[in-house]
Amino acid sequence: MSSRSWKEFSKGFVLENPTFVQALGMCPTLATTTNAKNGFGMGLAATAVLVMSNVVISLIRKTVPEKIRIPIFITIIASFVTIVDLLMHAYVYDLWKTLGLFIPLIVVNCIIMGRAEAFASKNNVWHSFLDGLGMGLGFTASLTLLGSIRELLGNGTLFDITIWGKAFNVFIMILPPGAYLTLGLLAALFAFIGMKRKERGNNK
Amino acid sequence: MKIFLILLSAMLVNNYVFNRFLGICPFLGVSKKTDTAVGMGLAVTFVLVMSSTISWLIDRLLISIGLEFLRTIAFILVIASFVQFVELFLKKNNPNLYESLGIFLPLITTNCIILGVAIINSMSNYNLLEAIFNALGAGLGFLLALIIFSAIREKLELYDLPKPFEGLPIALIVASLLSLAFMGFQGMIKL
Amino acid sequence: MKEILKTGMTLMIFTLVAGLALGLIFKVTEQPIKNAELQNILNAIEFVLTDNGKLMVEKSLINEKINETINDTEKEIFKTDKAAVLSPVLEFKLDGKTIYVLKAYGIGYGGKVVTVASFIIQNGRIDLHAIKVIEYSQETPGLGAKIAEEKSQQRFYPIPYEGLKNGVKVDKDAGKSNLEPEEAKKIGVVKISDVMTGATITPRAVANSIQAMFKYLRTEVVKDVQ
Repeated sequence: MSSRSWKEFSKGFVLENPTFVQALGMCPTLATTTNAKNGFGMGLAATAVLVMSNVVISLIRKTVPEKIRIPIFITIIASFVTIVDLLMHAYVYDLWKTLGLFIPLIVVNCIIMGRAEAFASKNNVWHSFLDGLGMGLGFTASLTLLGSIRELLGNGTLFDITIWGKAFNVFIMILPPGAYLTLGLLAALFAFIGMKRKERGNNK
Repeated sequence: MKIFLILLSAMLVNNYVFNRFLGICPFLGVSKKTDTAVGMGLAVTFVLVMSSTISWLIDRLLISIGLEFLRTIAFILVIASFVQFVELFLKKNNPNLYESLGIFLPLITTNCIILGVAIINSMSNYNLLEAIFNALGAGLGFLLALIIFSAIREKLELYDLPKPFEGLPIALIVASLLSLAFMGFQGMIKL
Repeated sequence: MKEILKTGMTLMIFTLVAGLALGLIFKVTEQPIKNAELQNILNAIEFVLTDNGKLMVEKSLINEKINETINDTEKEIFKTDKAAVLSPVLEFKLDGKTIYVLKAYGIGYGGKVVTVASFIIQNGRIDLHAIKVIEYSQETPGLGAKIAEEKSQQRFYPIPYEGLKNGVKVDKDAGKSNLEPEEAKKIGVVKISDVMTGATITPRAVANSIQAMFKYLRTEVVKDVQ
């Protein structure tokens, strides 16, 4: 893999992390991370849509007239979302049930439209693929992290495996306020790491 | 009576922002000033009610011809074109209103509260009136959340915060406390 | 004019291709989706027919009953103001008792909450044996969606005849949050506020469904009970 490819792939994890740095796609991030498994599943579903839409949009980027770019992007994204929705309904029924409303809502996840506009419509297929995959996995990692923290503190389990169980439960973590709180503290942590890194850079 | 309960429930008890996590992006993005927050809230409420009505009709049409699986794609296209239409209409006929609301319109298409409410209406089997009131409640709840939140954020600007907490992190923590407050409404309404 | 036509055509072609692709995927997944739904309901039926880890009814009989009704469209056969009972009604006649497996929905937080329940008719009594909530996808994760958990659902059953006649309510509505779960069931109260804190609408939908199913049995099916 060339260094450019590696850059496009890896930027989604820390430097341009969609969740903690860019604050994109907040709705599913907050709503589906009541446990690690749901966060992970939601992340993968979004990743699948993101990779496919990035690739297709990059493929057609030269044939689409500027004026009707947005409606066409929306159509493409909505089609892939419906496909993912149908496939999940058929083959991972339980997960499909728990994620519910938030699968169709991937359509309006700002990450996907954002990457289509900012990256896939300007770059070649290979880089768009890597960009989609990296951003998607970065999103998945953030959601899984958030879900793990909330599940562990709120329920004493991790991926449904009992860690300390009932011994220590902060129930509010699973409820909506816990979602905002955990995300806020993690965002602060990311900002802190970013600042430290910058300081170090300046000292060099 | 039931429609009134649906309205209140969507607005307070099950507030879409604090409880259902819909419409978070504009909630965090356009809440730095109360003026803009009010503008955004009103624009969203208007689009919500109108697009819910249209999507309700489309939904019935899709069900009657057995193409429910096209729901997501149909809804989002309807919403996108409706927003575009409103934008053009305002620009031409009411430039003043366009000045104050117009800037928010392009952002609304990707506001998940619009699509979310349309889908919830369809999944709850609401009739047209109930769907409209649910949308109205959602919009007013969003407006309310935005006003409270922006008022707090305006004050926050004046305080000296630890550096890493500035901006998004503190906003999220404030949202957490507000969401906690809104949980107080739980159980108030029996549907 | 020409340009409008051209953009219009491009837009149309894209929508058409998208529509066709979706239609294709829909056709491919149609059967698996049906199977998944059927498996879901079959699991629920077997669950509510289990007593002490053993099925009360032969598996082959269950399959037979399900196959009889598999192609019927779902209808609302009985309605209260808060919930509705859905067809098909499965009836299992055993020696000395009859078991009914019913399906009903109440309106939860964001849509239907569907419950499958088994009632045992014996000695002029109707007792609720077990329930399984099969549809709750619109409930909020962490709040209403906790209804999915076994320990939440266990609070709803078994409810004896006396409790059912009282009217099934969740503890907050009955004003009896201080009872032990097992004590509460005897008077038709579902102690749920400790396992599903903050969520009342979803368990209420389940309680209303149970109540509707009981009413249906009492008024339409078995009239010869006290």
